[in-house]
Amino acid sequence: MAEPDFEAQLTRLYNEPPAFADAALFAAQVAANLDRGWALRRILIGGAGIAAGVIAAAQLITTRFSADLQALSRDGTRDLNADIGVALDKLNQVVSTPASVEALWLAAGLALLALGFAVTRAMEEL
Amino acid sequence: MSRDRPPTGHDVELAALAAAGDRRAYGELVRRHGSAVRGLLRRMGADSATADDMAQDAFLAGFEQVADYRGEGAFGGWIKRIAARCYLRKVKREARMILTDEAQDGDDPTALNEPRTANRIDLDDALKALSKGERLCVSLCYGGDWSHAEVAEALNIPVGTVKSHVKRGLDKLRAKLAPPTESARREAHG
Repeated sequence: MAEPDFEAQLTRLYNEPPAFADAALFAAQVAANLDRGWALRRILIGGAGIAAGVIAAAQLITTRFSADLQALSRDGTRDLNADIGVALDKLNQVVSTPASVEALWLAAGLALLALGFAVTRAMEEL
Repeated sequence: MSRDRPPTGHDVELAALAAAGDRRAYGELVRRHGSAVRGLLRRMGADSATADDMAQDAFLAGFEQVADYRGEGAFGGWIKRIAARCYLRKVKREARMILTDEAQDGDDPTALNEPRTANRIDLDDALKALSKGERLCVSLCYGGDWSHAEVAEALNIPVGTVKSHVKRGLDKLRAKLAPPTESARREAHG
């Protein structure tokens, strides 16, 4: 048999896949592995969403107080009692002003959204 | 698209759907090409369990990379290439040792001397006459459509070594796959 003919025949033979009795099972296993990988990815995204929500909420709350704390440390020469009094006043002010309530609600809302997202994802996977 | 009905269409269309995240479309591609990939890996010399594991890994890797498949060649060839690379990564060290050794006997030393009596051309039987190195090189070149240079590069061995393995493998396969001689036919029929 001439070489090119034989090589063409060999390529043809290689292109005829053997029949596997468990071909459907193999395809199902690959599909299951794909689904599992996808589920893991979604859980990771959900987890990252929650973490980001919590961090954002924490940032929103702490930025309100950090400026006040920095001011306190700069004015270290002041009388401690006066400072504590001022700080308490400021704290009360911060908590009672509409802006801080907004921030608090915003943070709570973000956390709830993140939680809802994660629960939805988990339910979808179950 | 109905949820119950498997997606249909050309491989390129299914690959585009899979690239957009459609796992059912990719599942159809797995159904179409699963046996070819498993078959190639076995013909390269992998045992059945390893071949199936590698084929699974290849299809999972293929899903991650399916956006890179632009339909320039056949999807079957593309995924077989990924599978072959997966397998070579696993056996690279062993394969290099086998391929840089001197010529070895085939897995079945008697296979070459047995006259072929059946008319059916069975590539898988014929491959048993080849050594591991010959089998790997011939299967990559003719089953995976790799060039000699690509095989050499993947295994980090000289091109000449690949060529000599391919040549020896082809000689053995030619003998095995040649039509049965008249005397062999008479022998078979008693």
